[in-house]
Amino acid sequence: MKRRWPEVLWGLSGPIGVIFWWMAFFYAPREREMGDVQRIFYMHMPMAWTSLLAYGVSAILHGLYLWKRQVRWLFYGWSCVWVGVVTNALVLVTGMCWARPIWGSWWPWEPRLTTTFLMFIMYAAYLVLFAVLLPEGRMLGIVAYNLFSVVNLPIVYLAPRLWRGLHPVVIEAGQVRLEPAMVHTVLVGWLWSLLLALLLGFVADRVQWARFRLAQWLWSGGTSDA
Amino acid sequence: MRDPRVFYLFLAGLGFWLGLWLALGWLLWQTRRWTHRLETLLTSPPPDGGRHGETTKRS
Repeated sequence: MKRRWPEVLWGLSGPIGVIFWWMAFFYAPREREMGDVQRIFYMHMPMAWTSLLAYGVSAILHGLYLWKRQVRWLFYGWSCVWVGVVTNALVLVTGMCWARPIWGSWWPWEPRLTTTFLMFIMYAAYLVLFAVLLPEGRMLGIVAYNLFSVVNLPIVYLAPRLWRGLHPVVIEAGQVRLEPAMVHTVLVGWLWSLLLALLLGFVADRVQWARFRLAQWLWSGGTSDA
Repeated sequence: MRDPRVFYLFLAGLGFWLGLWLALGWLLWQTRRWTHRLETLLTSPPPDGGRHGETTKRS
């Protein structure tokens, strides 16, 4: 059973995904004003939370690298950013699909959308930077950029509260503006998106680690103690 | 009366999820298999006692 839990999580994620999909379409009631288009929200919001969480955790893991100086932490941090970028892209796409029928525009440049897009670009740039700086051994450059990018997180969260835009605010002053069935669907959706993010992270980490081990072996001249 | 398109979208979403889930399972299985193989290859001593592939290069 050693290190079998990614496979266990994969097994759990299958039925949870099916339950979530059923809840999003049949358990959650039809929203009065927006109609069925609002159901996109059940994927949009959990993915947004997951991407913010992944970016936040990546900053902690980069901090751990600074403390422990073990490259493993840097790779875990990289996997978190990778997962964050994938879920962030899904947030942008689902948001656009909702915006077109509701706002009449695929992309109005309002505060929440603009800051989320900037965050996506900055973390996508991190992935490029990582690929360039890692072979040169410039780990501190990677860590510095990651810790700089985490400034985006509070800005994205506070954007609709600071600069009143079009984006709806679901949670305000501790109050959730949703019916209980909608809240249940969002929570199951979040659980599903977290599992999906973890699985994507495991795959990304294994690939990155294998690439690193192979590069390390080649640089050492192909000796078995690499 | 529920819009029938909701049901079709549900089916499409379910199909998408099952496909993604199977793909993830396959990727997990393959990455586990290949990382294990790579570790075995990199940590095992080469049969000629020298560097990996040297015998092949010389011959």
